[in-house]
Amino acid sequence: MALFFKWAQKSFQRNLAYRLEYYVSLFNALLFMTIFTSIWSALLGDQERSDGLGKIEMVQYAVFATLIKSTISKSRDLIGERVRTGEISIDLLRPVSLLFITLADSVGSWIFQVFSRAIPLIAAAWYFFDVKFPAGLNAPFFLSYFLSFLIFQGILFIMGVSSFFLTENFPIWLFNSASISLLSGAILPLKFLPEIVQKFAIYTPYPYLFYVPTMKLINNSFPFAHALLFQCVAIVITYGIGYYIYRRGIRMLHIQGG
Amino acid sequence: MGSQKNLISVCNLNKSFKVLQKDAGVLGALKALVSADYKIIEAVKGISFDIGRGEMVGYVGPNGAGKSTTIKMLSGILYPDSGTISVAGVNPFRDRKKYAMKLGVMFGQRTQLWWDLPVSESFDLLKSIYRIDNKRYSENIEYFNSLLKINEFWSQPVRRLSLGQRVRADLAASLLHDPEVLLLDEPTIGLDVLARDAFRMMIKGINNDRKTTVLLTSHDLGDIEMIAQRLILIDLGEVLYDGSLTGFMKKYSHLSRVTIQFQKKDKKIDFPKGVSLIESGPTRVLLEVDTRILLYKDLLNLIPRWGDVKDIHMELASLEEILSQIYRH
Repeated sequence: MALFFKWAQKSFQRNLAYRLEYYVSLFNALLFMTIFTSIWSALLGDQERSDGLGKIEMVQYAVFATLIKSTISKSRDLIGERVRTGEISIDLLRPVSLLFITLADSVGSWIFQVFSRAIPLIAAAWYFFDVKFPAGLNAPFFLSYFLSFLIFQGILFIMGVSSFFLTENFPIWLFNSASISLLSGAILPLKFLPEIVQKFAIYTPYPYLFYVPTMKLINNSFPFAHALLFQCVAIVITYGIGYYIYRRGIRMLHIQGG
Repeated sequence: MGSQKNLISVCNLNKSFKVLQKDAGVLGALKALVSADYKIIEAVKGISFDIGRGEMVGYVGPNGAGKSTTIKMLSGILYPDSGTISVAGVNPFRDRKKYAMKLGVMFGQRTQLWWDLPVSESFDLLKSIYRIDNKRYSENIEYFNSLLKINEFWSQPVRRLSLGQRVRADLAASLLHDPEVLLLDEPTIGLDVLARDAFRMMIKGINNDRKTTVLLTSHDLGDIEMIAQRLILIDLGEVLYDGSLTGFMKKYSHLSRVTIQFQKKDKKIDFPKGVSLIESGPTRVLLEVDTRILLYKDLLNLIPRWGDVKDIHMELASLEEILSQIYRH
């Protein structure tokens, strides 16, 4: 465990090395917040909705879903990139597992993002969008948020190790990004999707990424205990699939370069 | 071979790759979308060798001979189709973590250090990864400072190091956990003459001080001549020679170079069998002579017939020349 935290600490330090990347990603997150809050304000106006998701709730939803997404998600396929360049050989030479390396690395980046992005983004949300601290900001929310992080890492691991077979796994990466956009709740709450899509989505890990923790924050009547259980199931399944692909793929991996 | 008790044991190793064949042009690309043709390339064919503790072995061959494939399999990062590998009795594919503790690997073309962190931070992380105790870590850092002078750039981020500094840091990093075996894959690529010489001295020093077994692949045959006592030559995935470097030089020393300086040279010279013309000038020729076919005394009898001789200079072929002859055949 000490190694895990030391690795995470070094990853945190590495994130500090690039200031421009930090400012640009912060600006991006602010831009997304502005876009989605503006859309929901224009669409919903002052109308009341029977499901309790009126203008105020949806502006809150847009702000917190963006906040959660920007602190958890990564736009880079680190394993895939290292397979393409052959640098994966360095990771495989270490006496630790690849999942351990990627998880420890991601925990460091995640902690960096929480501290460096969440605070300025919450301040911006409070100042520009008049968003108040939601009542659902409590320990169960943080548990759900942590589980979301683990699910995201599990999906990322599946994407990464698929490059052991494919080398160029961009189409799968693209499909995953589209699925996240549609089903994770990062843009639209799952409730707003057609019923058939909702029924399908709950059998994928995506709604448990951003939809569940965001709904926990803004909607007191959300069946949270049930969702938390599904988050745990999603973790077991994603890591199980990732480990299976890794075990099969490692035998077929061709390391690039001499 | 393996003069001492065997540390590395490689037995009947085979590896082939399935490579997609595409016809040239747009039509070829479209055809490949519908029906893919694959070609099987046998990169390594039944390679076996043993290496004893403390040996320094040069593993050479032309591009595509199967060197890197063997090194990757020895590193435990590429699975063989068949055959076995073990280092001190540990199989890399059954017990990867234990195997990694016994092995230090240095690739000349990629670094195992963390690009954005200072050298000191990378070493601190490696200390935890390999569970090195504080005392041993301090001793090792002191040793590397004396030999590799890593203290000169200890606090600099890796991305800011010169190539020579990066190679020194990488060598120290690969030895930090006291591995029994050090695999070096093109370690001096891109280094200048001085840095190359220094690197070779360091490897010899480490082998001398710690009895670390070294397996080295390099296209710079100066590395092999300076470092290795034993040579394994492979081509087309098979071992062509496995023995001492001096034995190799003796075996192939029938190849020698003869430079003849003429006062006046015949316009057309018919060289006998066993003699190949390398270079020719108005008054000078450089020949390669195979003394298994043509003895020196016969050559010396022939030379005056080719012109008015001013000077003759003979030298045995270098390792590079011998290998290039073998590669060509």
